[in-house]
Amino acid sequence: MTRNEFTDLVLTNLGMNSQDRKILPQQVFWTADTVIGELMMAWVKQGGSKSDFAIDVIAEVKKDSTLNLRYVNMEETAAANQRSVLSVSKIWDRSNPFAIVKAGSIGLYGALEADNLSVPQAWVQSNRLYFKGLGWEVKDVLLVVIPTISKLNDEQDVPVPAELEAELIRRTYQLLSAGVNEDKTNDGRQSIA
Amino acid sequence: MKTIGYIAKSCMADTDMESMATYQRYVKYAIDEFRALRLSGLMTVTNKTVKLEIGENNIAYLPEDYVSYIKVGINCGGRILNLEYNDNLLGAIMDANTDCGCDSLSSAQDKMCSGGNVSNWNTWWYNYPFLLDGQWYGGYYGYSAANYRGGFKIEGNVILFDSWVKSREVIIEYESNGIEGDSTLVPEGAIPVLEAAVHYKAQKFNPNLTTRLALQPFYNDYRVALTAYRARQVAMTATDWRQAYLRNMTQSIKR
Repeated sequence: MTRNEFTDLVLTNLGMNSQDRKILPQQVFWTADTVIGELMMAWVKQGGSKSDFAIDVIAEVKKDSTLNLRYVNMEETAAANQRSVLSVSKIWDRSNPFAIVKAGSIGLYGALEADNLSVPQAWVQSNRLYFKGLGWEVKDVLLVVIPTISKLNDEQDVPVPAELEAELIRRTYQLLSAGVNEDKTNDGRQSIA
Repeated sequence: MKTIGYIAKSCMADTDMESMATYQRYVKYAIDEFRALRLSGLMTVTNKTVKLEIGENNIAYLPEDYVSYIKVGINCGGRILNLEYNDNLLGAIMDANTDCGCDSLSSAQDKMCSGGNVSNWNTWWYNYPFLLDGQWYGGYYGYSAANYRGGFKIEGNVILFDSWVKSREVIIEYESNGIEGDSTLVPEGAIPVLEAAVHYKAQKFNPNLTTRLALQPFYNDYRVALTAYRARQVAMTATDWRQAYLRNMTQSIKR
């Protein structure tokens, strides 16, 4: 189910056609993002995997000259938030992912042997994913992220397990229908305007 | 042998983790346990030989995994000349300002490298620390203090060298704590202990853990693994049993 198909399904259920929309597609995306969060937690509790909701993104590695660090701009990755990066690796080396560390603990681990890792370290700070120990030859990295729907393209599939598609549409519809104001009948009084 | 990185990933797989977010923490737990086992004599001793640069003030910095030295030597045409320890060396206060300018000892290393007047390794006594002509010679594992004085002293995390040591690099064989981050090698028998320890510590420091009862199964697993490993480590081998048998035979009363 592409994002376009999903949006159309929800809006159609709400009784809207493409010419008569009281709800913007963006509202559908934002609502669906919150629903997906709920569905994902329930799914994981039942033994499912977060990666069922994830997509692969190849991102360009840039350099921050001030900090002398290399990074990926998270805005370009469609990641929902800082915690939605499941895996970072070299493009052709998915089975050897980088260690995802906490930005605040880098100084702490710097004094410990555990800082000496055989794989690069990566941490999210603000809207950037920084790297430590990444070889200069690496120009792009492969990210596995849980995306936000609003950052997907219209033709991209909404990453939810097939079993949950109907539930996603139903809950999104329910949430949106509660917010759609019905047309109010004229009470006969003159408007101030 | 496996690495500590393997231990960490194995534990993460046990708990069905999907990201590497806890990898570094698990590596730390495994290293802590590795260190504890080593201190208890339950881990193989790791000896290493490395080359260190001798910098300003004739000092070299010891590796972080250093525990104690075995040999300290200089390279002379592919042959290592080991130096002797000299507890009387003075470190930082012996700088250029305090140097009298006398050159009497500066050629000591040259003498050593050329075989010197006493230390020719082709002589029969070279390989043995013998008393020769009333003087002790260090033999193969160290040039004698009787001839050149000791060449180095270890103070904190640095090695101080006597001023006559002119080499800018030194080769040191030392006992290492064996810890090299997630590349630390773990003997096969210790893997279950380290895995159980990582699980136990992950629970122990889990902020969501509210009762000690929940911790107990992990602690039990750890203790069982540790006890089994310890028993295997101290168990007698076939050779040990044979030796014990033979000893017993010679000590028994002959009939």
